[in-house]
Amino acid sequence: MKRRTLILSGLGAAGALVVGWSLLPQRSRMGAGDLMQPAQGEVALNGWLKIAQDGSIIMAMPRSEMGQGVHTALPQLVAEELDVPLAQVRISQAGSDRLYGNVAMFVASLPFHPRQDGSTLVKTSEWMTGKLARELGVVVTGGSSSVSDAWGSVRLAAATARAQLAQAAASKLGVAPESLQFEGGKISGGSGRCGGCEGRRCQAQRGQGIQTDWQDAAAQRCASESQWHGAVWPGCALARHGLCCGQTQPHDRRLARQL
Amino acid sequence: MEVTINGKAHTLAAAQVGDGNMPLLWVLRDVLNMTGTKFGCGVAACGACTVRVDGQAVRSCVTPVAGVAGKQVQTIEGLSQGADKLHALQQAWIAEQVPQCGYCQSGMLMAAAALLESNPAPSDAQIDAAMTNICRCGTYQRVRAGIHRAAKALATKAASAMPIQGATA
Repeated sequence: MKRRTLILSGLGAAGALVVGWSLLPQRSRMGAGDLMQPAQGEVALNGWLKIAQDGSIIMAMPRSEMGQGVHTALPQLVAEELDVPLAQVRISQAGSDRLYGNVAMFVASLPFHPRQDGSTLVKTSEWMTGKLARELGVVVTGGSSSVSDAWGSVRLAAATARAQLAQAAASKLGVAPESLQFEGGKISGGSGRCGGCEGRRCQAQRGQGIQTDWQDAAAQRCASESQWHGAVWPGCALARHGLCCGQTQPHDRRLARQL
Repeated sequence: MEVTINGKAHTLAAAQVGDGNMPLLWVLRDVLNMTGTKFGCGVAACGACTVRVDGQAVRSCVTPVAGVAGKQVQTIEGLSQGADKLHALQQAWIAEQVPQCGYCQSGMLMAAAALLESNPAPSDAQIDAAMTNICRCGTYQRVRAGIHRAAKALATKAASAMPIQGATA
């Protein structure tokens, strides 16, 4: 074989592999339930959520709380998707699986101006960066990225869990999944009423109109929070968990035998 | 050497504080173990170490302890009269969810307390001018809101002829 042929065919093969890998779907961020290490009587629905025996939802929390409120904001996303009161969502420290890696932070660090949004270059770069970040799975809190990163992954995990639960409930109750009501952490059905899915709420469930009517209606939604079955719409300013009172700051905590 | 901190007299041995050049912040944190006051920059720029000396907000990291002998020092530990009798500023801080990481906030509160004593109803501009403390989390908007809320609460209290709680050391 000529040296030229070897080099060119090598380059061609490498290029084909890179293009092929790039076109493959991005790594899923759903994860399997065993990541949640469900104890006896607990039901793990995916890598983000499990349900405890007392009905509380336990979510994997891969981000650090530094007062920025992420331990409140991320459970808000779960509470919203599952229509449960925020108090019913608990957090547990996530493991080190790359599922919990921060993708949004890497994508946001690309050196593009917002004016370039939508261009092929930006879209391609974001796709590739997102793909790489999912492979690397760097679990990191920073860059104002926790909510934007969880916005897709955690909401999708919670919405998928909701669909699983609906399917299970529907077959148990012998009704269509669409007719079920999710309210206060309970699923009921068979009344024939399409509960909890009217007007704007229904639109939101179907993924319509969230972007457009979110801002102007946000204040109204927050004010009438109770009408969302006790769940809390993401974007409502809530008191952050653990802000108050009388805690020693970590850097002033002096442990026994600490030098 | 004798210093009065939060109304309590402390006698400091020369072995602890040397010739009195030890900064007040070191005395508070390392000698007296009052860690509510924070070390930030160490050069009087950030205000994390702010305490009040005879009512005035002072950067304790550059104040030699000898300079406060015979004066009234108030730290964050002395701002409230107890856990159930928080200073109006502390109540406002909780209501407005002011802190983020919280590191600069004890200095912020002491500076705000000094401000409200000299100016019970400061404007936004006056707050910005008086509050020279730096906050890495950027809580400035909520600091302002907290001061306004506390000012209102103190004014209401004063109007109902109650003694202003914790306004002085």
